[in-house]
Amino acid sequence: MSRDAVLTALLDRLERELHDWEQGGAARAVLGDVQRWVALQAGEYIPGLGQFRLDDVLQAIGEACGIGYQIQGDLQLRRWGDAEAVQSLLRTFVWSFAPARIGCLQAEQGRDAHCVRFSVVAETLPAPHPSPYLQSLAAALKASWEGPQLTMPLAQTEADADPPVDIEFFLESTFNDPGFQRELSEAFREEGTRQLLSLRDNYTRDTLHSLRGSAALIGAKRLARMLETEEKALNPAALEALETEFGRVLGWLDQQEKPGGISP
Amino acid sequence: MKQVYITEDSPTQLLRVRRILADIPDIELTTFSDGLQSYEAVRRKPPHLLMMDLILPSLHGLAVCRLLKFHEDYSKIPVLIFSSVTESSIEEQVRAVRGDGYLRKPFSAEDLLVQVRRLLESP
Repeated sequence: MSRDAVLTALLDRLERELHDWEQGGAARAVLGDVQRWVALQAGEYIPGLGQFRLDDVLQAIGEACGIGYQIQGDLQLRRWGDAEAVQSLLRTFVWSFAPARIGCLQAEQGRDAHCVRFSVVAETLPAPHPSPYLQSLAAALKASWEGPQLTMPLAQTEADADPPVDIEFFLESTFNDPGFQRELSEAFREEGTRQLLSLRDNYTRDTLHSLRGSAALIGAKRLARMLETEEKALNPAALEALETEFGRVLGWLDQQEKPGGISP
Repeated sequence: MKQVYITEDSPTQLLRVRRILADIPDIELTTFSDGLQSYEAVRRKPPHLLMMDLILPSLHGLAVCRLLKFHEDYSKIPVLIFSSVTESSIEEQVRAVRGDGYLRKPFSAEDLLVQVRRLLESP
C-alpha cells in the first residue's frame, strides 16, 4: 500500500466516522480540518495533493477554535512503515490544533496487518476567536504558501538542516539502551507537551527552565538554547518558535523509535 | 537498606536519575515532585541522603536545604542539589546554605554515582 493509499484510506475512514457521528456543522468543519491538514503535511509524500485554497485552510483553523470535537477510529494497514507515517501525521495534527489531547494514539504491530488506533479530543476554547497561536500559525501557513517554495514540504525551514537532537549525546545519555531510549523519549514527549500547553496560559520562567533541563538531557541542544534565551527575555511571542522546535525534536524521536534503536 | 529521597519535578530527569541509581545496591528510593512535600517527608522520616532539583514547586531547593541545615535533628542529612541554572554563583549559593554537593545538569552517570557514593559513605 502506498503512502497515497494510506492517506486516502485515513481520510475515508475519518469521513465515515464523522458521518456516523451526527454533529452537523462541527463534524464537517472537523473533517475539513483533517483533510486540509493531512494534505498539507502530506505534501512531501504526495506531490500535487496540496491543491486547495489557502482561504479554506485559514477559515478551517478559525472554525476549529470555537468547537469541541472528537475523532476516533482504527485504521488497518499492511505495512508497519505506513502506520508510523500516519501516526506521525496525526500527532502533528493534534499538536497543531492544541488545546487538544490524545486520548489514545498507538500503533499495534500484528502478524498480517497493523493497526493505528486513535482518539483525538480537542477541547472547546473559551474564546470565540482564534488564539494568538492559531493566528500566528495561519500567518506562517500563508507565508509558506505564498513563498517561492510552494511545492516544498511545509516543515522545511533553515533549522531543518541541522538535526534537532545531538545523536551522540542522546546515545550517551540513554546508555545506548533502545528500551530506555523509548522510555525517556515518551517521558519527554508527555512532559514537554504539558509544559508548552501550560506556557500558553502562564508564560513563566520556571516552566521554561524546567523544559530546558529536559531538552538538554536528551540532547535537544537547539531547543535548550532557545529556552535559555527565553528564560531571560520572557517574551510570549517566542512560544510559536519553541513549539515548532519541540515538534522537530518529537519528529526526530519518532524516527528513532524503530526496532534496533539508533546508531550514530 | 539506605533511604534516598529524590525531589525532582521533571519526570524525564527523574527517570534517568532512577536508572543511574539502579547500579547502587541496598538503597531504597522515594521520590517527590514538590519542595515542601519533600521537606515534610524528611521531617517525618529522615533519609540517609536527600537529592533535589533547585527550582521546585512550593519551596525552592535552596530553601529546603537551608531549613534542614538549621535544624539540629536534620542538619547532618547530606543534601545533593542539581540544576541546569547557569548562574556562575550557583555553587556558592549551594555552599552558603550548607549543601553537601552540587551537580550541573545534564550530568553524567559517573558524576552522579561518585557524588551519591561519597555522600552515603560520609559519617
